[in-house]
Amino acid sequence: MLTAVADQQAVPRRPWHEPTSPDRSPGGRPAPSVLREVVEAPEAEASQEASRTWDQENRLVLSELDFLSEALGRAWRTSPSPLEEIAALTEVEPEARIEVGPPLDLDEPVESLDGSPSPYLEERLHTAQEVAVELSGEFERMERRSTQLRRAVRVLETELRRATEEVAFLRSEDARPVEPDPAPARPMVKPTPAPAGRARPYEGPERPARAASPPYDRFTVDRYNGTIAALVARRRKLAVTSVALSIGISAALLTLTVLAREPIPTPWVLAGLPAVWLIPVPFFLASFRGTHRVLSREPLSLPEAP
Amino acid sequence: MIFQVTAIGKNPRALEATVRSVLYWVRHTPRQTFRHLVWLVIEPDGYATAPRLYDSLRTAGVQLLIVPADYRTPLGTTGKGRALQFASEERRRLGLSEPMVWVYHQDEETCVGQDTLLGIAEFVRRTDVYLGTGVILYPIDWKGSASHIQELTRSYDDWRVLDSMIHPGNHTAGFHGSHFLVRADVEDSIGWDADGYAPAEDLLFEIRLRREFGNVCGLLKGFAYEKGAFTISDQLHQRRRWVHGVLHAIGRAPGVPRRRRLTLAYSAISWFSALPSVAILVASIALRYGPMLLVTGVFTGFVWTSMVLAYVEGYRLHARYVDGRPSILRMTFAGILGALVDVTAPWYALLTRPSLGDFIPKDLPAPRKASAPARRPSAGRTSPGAS
Repeated sequence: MLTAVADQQAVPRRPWHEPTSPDRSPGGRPAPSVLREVVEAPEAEASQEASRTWDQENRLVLSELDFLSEALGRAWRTSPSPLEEIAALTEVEPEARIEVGPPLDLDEPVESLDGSPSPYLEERLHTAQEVAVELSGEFERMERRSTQLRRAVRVLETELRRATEEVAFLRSEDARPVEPDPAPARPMVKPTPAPAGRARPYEGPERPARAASPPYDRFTVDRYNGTIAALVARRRKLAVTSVALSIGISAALLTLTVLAREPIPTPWVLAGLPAVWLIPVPFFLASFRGTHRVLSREPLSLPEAP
Repeated sequence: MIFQVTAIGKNPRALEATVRSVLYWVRHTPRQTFRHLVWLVIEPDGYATAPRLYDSLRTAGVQLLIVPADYRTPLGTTGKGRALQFASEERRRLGLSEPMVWVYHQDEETCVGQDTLLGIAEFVRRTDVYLGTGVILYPIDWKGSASHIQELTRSYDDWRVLDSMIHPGNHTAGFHGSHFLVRADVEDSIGWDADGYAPAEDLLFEIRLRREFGNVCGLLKGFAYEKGAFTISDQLHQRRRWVHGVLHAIGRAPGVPRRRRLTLAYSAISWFSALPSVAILVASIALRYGPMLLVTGVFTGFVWTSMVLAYVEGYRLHARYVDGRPSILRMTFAGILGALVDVTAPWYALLTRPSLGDFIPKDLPAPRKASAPARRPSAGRTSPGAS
């Protein structure tokens, strides 16, 4: 695409006051000495030579731009503006981007406006590359953000769908008359022979009705809160009583031991057997600490059911 | 919210009460803030015990998931872990394994109350935790037997469990296999599969969860309501399964961090030391080792107080839910008997073969048929059994 544009603009127009320089960029392009020879050659020949060189130069530049354009991918191709933007940027006043060359010496022979290479070609190319890279980065960022947005929209749609289902469900529950579930004590199915194993066969029809209400109808939040509140209320008292009782029992045992004046057993008995006895003591200590910690720190009550 | 009851299915009446409690309270609890599904995951053997009962539950809105007999997990786990893994894969298949879905795990006898649902509703609004568990009471079919009295201590001990759970490291190795709530995507990312039979799949799950996600456990308000073992024998078998689970986690389960293994080992040693401690106590009286108390006496008072306190406070937690207060004498003897069973259980587990899923009956034995009323036209009365 850019090559086609280059064909149309094979001979670029330059402002008359644009400084000319014999220096050309390296990399297979005409060296300064070559240019000087071109300037010293007869005017027509030099003009043709310069025109060809400039044409090649332009094709090289634009083929690089073609490559960059391809690299930018889909986003680049869908937007016509980058090409125009690059073209506009390369046509802006050079003072805005690079240093201004030396003032034009009117005594020197003026070379053909059509055939002289631009001294700013390298800088313009660099600028174009920078802009291309910047644009590429911007497009990538836009793509990433649009992907994130699409994802967020999908989540939002899912949540909305679920919320709609929830509302429909809640409305259907409100509309449904509340019927008590049958108690498990109701007569049930015929007994079936049990397979191998120790299970007792079910004897439904013979079972008499035991209670009017199932056992689980007493498992209410009020009872739970009452039980928990009572336990939490007596926790401190429980701890103090436990410690006091422990000390009392231990003191009594030690006193009895001293008063009994029994013979001291052999050392292995005195050291070995108590060790077995003492194994679970850390467990009991951890249990005491954990129980009181969870009862004192964790909020355990539930909101009352209306 | 998925209320998932995972069981063999051979206690159909207990299962029905569990499911009905959910259906009842979701209808009678305001401000619930979640939609619910009830999943009943059972084995084909369990379904065969009462197919019409299970079909009636299906009619009531319960989704019945019967684990296919030929279903195999990738690692080949068996028992309850297999059923849990099956349910997990079903969630994935149905697209329910996502952050907005929570799973409340129940055993076959885990009834919920209004407080349970409100606790769940409050918990699922939190964003900083993925798993919550709370206190379990045992008031259903309460008879005040030795095994039931012993369960009182478990309820009070749950405060220790909760404190341990919500703090980093779970330093006293506490967890429940029921009455816990976990985010579906988190559960399904961990899974329940294990290499072979894992007697304590719940413990392994908690360990893996903590390893993968860190300290993400929270306190779930509201009680769950279960029933204790009916007999001493059932209590012993239940404890044996726990011991086997702990020993499996310590010794053979892969991926358990060394620190957790040490914690579990200490818990196990503490439990194992109970029987020798009782023996030493008796021996010290008989062999006149009284001076031993000079060493142990300092903490003896504390240990005894803690044990008695667990019974007393456990009963107080249940007081509003059980009918008929047993006498102190009965509670004392029943407590001692129940404690002796718990003390004996680890050694019993060590000396007997590992149980591949002890079946613990949770259905009350069906009452015997009433004898035919005596035909006494003149008296016009029936026998007491027929009333």
